[in-house]
Amino acid sequence: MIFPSEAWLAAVVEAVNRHPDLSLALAGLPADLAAVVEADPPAVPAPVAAWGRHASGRIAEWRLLEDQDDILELTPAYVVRGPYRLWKDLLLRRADPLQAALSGKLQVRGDLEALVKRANYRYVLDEALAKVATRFPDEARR
Amino acid sequence: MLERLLETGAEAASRAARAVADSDRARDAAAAAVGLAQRGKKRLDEVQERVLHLLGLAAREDYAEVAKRMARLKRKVRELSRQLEGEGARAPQAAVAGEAGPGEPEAAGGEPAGEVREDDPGEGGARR
Repeated sequence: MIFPSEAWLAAVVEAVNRHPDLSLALAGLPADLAAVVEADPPAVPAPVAAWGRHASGRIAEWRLLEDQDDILELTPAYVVRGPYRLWKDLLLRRADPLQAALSGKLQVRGDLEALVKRANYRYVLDEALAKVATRFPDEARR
Repeated sequence: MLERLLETGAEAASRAARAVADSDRARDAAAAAVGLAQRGKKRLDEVQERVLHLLGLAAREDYAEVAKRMARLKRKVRELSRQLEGEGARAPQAAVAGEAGPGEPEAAGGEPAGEVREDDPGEGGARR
């Protein structure tokens, strides 16, 4: 599945929701988050924005946003934004999310303290991501 | 030389970040430092906002409120254009079938809605 597509996101959400430790990782975190993959033509011709909300220890609702400005209306507790290449490096574990967030390469708006405290739950996302066959548009075009 | 220095710096930062992720104490210390910095910035923003308001000037929060309203309007326009397009496509069919006049407006986006928040932008797309 191509990152960042709706099918890819659906597969990741499904895999994350199956993880037994997800409720522990989400406990006490604010309810919603938006993520933006900035445009990087020709691989990602326009920015891709997604929004999700958790409830009862699982991702209860999510969707790709038609326009990244919708985030301004939704006002989620977290907005995470970064260039496509950085997201790719994070997914391939070539970059560390904590380091990227603390250095400002990955822009995180929201309570960063709560996220840093949960850095030990990174494995939940890593294990879910490992179950999704991810392809990248810049490689798929070759 | 500079490249090597940057590389070494990046490696050190990566090791530090890994240490933060791996050790409870390091993680809590980093979280506390980040929290302190964020709270400090928030306090500074609040003071700045008060000063700007005292001077009769708009602060960042005011712009954020305007941006939120603009985003809502943009979304409404998008939904209305979609409705109009839908009605435009239906009109010739209705005329053929002898059903002149607009039908029931369709839900924007054409996908069944799942759980929707009260402040949901109401657009099409996945809802799980």
